[in-house]
Amino acid sequence: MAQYILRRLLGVLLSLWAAVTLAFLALRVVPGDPVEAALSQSIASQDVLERRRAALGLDLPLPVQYGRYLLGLVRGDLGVSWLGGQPVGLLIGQQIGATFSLACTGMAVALVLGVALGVAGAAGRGGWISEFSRMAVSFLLALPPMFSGILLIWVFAVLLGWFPATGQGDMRHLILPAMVIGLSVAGGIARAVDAGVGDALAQPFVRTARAKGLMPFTALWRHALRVGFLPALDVIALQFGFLLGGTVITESLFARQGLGRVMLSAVLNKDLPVVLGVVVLAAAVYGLLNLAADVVHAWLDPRIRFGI
Amino acid sequence: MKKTRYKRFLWASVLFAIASLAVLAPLVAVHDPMETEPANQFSSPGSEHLLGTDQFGRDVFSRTVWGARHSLTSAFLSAGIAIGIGLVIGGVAGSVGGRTDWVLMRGVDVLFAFPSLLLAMALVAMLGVGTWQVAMAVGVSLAPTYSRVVRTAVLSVKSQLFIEAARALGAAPWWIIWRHLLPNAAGQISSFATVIYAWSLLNIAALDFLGLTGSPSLPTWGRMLNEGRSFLRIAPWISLGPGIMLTLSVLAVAGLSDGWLRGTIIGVKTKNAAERVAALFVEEEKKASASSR
Repeated sequence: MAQYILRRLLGVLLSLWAAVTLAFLALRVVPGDPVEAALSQSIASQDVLERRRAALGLDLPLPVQYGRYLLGLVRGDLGVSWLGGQPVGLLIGQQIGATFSLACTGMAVALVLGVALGVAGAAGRGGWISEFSRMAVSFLLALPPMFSGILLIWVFAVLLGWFPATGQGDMRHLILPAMVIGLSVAGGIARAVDAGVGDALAQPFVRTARAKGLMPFTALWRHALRVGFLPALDVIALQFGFLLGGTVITESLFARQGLGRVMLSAVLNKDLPVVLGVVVLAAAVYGLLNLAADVVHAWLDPRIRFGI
Repeated sequence: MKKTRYKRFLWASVLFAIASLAVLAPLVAVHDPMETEPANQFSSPGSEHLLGTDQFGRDVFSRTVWGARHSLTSAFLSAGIAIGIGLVIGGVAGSVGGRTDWVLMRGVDVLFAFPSLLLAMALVAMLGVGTWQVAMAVGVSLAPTYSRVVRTAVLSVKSQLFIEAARALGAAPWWIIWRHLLPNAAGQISSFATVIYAWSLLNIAALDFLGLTGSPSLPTWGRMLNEGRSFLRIAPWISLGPGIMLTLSVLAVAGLSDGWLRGTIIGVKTKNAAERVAALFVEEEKKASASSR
């Protein structure tokens, strides 16, 4: 098992390296002079621009810049922002907590809703319960997070006044944004749980459990869901990556601090080192979560471990 | 199955209605979508302004209708880009196989590491803010997913006996691809193409919402949602109209194919997980087409 994890970890590091390289190169061949664009708000002379470029190391040849970036990355240094000059690592570090708590609460909402809808879809066996839950799932999948957020703000903040519409602080500020994230992620999870549990219910071991005299609910909960949850695991791991995209919208909608806001303002200002930093972080999170999903799979299913 | 056919007909008519609104925008929209009327701001929906007016006194109905034009066409453009790239990469990887397949799929894996919306935003940072740039960015960001589905669909056909038979009869590789591989994979490939279009609609609206598409006065659903957000207390109609239209179009596009529900489980990165999920999509797609026959 340890060997399997090590081998997969190496794979994750390799693909992360490839992702960093791709993102680095793509963001360095930007049309137009990025420094000039980033500084265009202040009227800077040619001389000032030159000095700025030299200070940021942008006058060096591309391979040298790339080498420097990789070396920095290994030491946890993500470079400095072109706009304010702060270290990118610091900018991200200050905001990551807010986004992390939003993502986790949102995921909790999504899990509860997604598993409930998915199990209802599978266990209803095509009756009106499954029909209804599947309709709800397709609706959730089509609902854009910016619209669900606006509806939630309108109903729960403006009309009912239960929750604050914007800002952050205590739990009350977290509930509506977490709902938005949860609603946008729950559909995919429900779909995977539905497919997995549906397959498991058709298997002989569930019939055996029923024949043994287990209640339908127990057979579903103890036997079918355990097996049927496996495909959902991949989806959940991947949705966490998607969540980072979803937080951009949610944070801007609810005027919350966080990585999404950092990314948005970096994109608008063409502050490429910050864009690169956020993208690299997302790739790393993605890679690690996928590794986790694979390890759990391998742990539950020895055939994967031995590459059969 | 009759029921699916009715459902598809229903969604096709909804989509047709939205598309006709978009095409007939200059006729349907009595007011100029850009024209401001400061004296008339925040007037509620009524006979003069069907969906009311916004903070500048602009007619919300006209803006929603013109927004349909923008959303449907730029999503079409970006879906076209994603589908074009995906067909080439997935088709070549699936049918040629071997080392070519390995290299192409590792490339796709790398792109998968970035969440599609973040990838699209990074591409906008690279290409600049604007309608075309956003359509392009969204298209490129969705291409890896489509490549994967095309490849899996081609592979599942390739392993079947009639392909081997054609090869044994001495058919040329291009003939096999054109005559046997593509027609048999077409169902899954086209079903997922509608999913890509639906995702394009959603992602383009998201980037519009974030203010990454060109001129701020341009009426787009995403931007209208963002503008209306500040006036929910006094004029909720500003964002309700475009929000409902957007959700309805995504639902309608998705409703055209049953692939929608199955397709949403795709989005996986590492090779084991990705292959598992892409295979699941193609498998379910086959089950569905078998049962509807």
